Amino acid sequence: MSHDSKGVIYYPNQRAEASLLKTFLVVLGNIVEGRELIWQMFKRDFFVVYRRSILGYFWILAGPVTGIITWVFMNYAGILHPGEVGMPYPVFVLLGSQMWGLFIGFYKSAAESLGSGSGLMKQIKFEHEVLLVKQAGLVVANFFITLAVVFLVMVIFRVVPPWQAVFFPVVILPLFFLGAAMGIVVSVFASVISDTARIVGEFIGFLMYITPVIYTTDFRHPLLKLLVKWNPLSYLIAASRDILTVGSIQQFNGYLVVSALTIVLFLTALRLFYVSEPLVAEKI
Amino acid sequence: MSSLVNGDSVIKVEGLYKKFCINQRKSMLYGGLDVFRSMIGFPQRRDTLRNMEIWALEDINFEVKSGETLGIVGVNGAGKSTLLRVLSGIYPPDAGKVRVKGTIGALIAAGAGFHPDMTGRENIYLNGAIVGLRKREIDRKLEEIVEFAELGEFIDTPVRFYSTGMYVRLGFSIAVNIRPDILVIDEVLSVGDLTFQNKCFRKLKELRESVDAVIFVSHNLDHIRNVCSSVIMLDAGKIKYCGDVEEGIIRYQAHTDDLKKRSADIEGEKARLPGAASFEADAKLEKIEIGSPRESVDDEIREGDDVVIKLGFSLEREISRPQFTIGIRDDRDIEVMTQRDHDNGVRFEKLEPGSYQLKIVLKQLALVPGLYKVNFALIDVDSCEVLTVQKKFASFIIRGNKVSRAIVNCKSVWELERNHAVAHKDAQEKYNC
Repeated sequence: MSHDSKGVIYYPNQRAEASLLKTFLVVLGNIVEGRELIWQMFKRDFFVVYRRSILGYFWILAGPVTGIITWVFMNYAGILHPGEVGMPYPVFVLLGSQMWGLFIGFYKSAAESLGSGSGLMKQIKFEHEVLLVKQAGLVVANFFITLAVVFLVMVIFRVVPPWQAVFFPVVILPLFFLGAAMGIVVSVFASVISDTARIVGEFIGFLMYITPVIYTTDFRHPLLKLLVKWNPLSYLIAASRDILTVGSIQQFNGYLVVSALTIVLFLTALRLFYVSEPLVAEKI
Repeated sequence: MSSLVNGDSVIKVEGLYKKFCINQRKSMLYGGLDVFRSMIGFPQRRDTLRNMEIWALEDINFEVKSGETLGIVGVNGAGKSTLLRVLSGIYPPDAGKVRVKGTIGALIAAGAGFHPDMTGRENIYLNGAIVGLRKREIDRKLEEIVEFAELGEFIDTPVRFYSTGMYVRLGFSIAVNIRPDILVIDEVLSVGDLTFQNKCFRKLKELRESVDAVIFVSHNLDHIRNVCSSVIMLDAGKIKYCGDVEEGIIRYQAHTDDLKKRSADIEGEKARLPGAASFEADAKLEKIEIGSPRESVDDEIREGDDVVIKLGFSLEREISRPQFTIGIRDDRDIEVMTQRDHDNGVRFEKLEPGSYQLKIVLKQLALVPGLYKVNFALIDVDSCEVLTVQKKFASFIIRGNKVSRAIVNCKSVWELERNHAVAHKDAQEKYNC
């Protein structure tokens, strides 16, 4: 779409002509322009979903609480051998699963952004970037609500967050970049090739087991060691947990490199989204 | 209304093409490739067709000027909704260019964008935001929207409990009251009740003053006639006519009659299989010709013409007292006429086995233009045997300017007098007395 004094002009492949910088500026502009819609959609999806439920907002907390109970039970029953985690296991697993949940939340919300708005996209013209922001907003809102549970458990187990925990929102940003980047790519391709979401879903299921979520990844097997080393999520999840418990990031260099990569990935995914989403609208 | 003056171009479509893939797997494959090539900066040429792709819109050119209400007519699958989606910016063109001056408010489906669990009021804010309005602007328009939709206390009920009519009322009310520069309405008003439909059409006429242009899609030709100032007829993705409303409607009716006839002929072919509808093997209908006396074989019959029906049939046995019946049904399957030879005082002699041709002339047939189907029956009155019944085995079209849906037509004389002139005269006479 291009604007001139004579109005808006639509012609084939016009978005592919935009430079990288223009892409990001346009996306940013569309988000600012669509802030009212983002808020209306956020309200719709955040509040209205629970209206049809008797337990209502309790379900926001129910997920993490039952998750913690499950893992702690498995640990005490001796089914799990998490290794030396350096803190009470409930705190370790709670933080790990929260960070993992955050990453998966960003991934899923981005991956479902085009799908969730497909009905609307076929009927009304609006800037589809708002779907991405609305979805990410939902994940963040749910995450910060469950963070209350996290702090409660930390207090119970006498793990006091250090003052550096105030940097937590910044430290988790790369998790957003990586999850959203993967989700955006999947969202675009899944809209045209339905197998994409399933393939990536299987891969992510495997990824959790080579990430320090429910046990330490101090593997002795050389291949597993290699996989953990090259798994970017190992650094991101460990760093997020570290900042809340010990106040410093133990693998800081690894975290920085991965963070830089996630930004590049995210911007690349945004470009993909921008050039391809008009093609997607007619396929869904 | 924007700063445009009447006659300025609001929408200009030049050489527009839009394609779709008709195979699911190929569609996914092409979609993936197209997305990938766009991503790496080598977008796929879009103006050519690949295997299993078809043009949904082909070489579309037209212009909508300020103050105009454009109607779009076409049978299902003609490309109307695709065209609206391209104009609204939902689908990108595959070739050509679309220039739109002003904001578009589209009502493409009843309740598009409504969330079932949100109340009508909440959905107004959501829909307002979708078309780019700020909360303050929606606040200002809220009362007008609610009032026009006539939802009363239901405005605070979740829309999942609304009837289809209520959905449409709310959707239409939002679409018209947000006052876009260009209003696009797809076939959605037909589900509302008559009172609300009338209200909508009054509003559309009123909107001609406040919006730059209206694009209106409907299968209801009376709606098109009442609302539009020009019309486009689409067929198989191509513009078959663009211009005057009456002429466009006549062409569209002729086109739909042709399509119905083609489909009726296919049905007729099935029924005409040898002996297909014969109760006995004693009589078979073998040939049929329907035309006007001017062109004896051609199906073209003008309004008010005599209609000549020639039936060729064969008999395997003797029929002592034959009785022939011809029935005519319209395209809604309403029986419009039945003619029996005996009712017309005609009694044919005994028929020996052999081939015959029966000619029936229906004098100055007073039916409205349209498609008609023919039934035929042959009965032996003496034995009360039905020898053959052929239902809707052939069809013919009466050509003419169809102005309304009805059955019969006639020439009529219309006169209008103003009553108060008579009253004035009476009063004068009284005064003189």
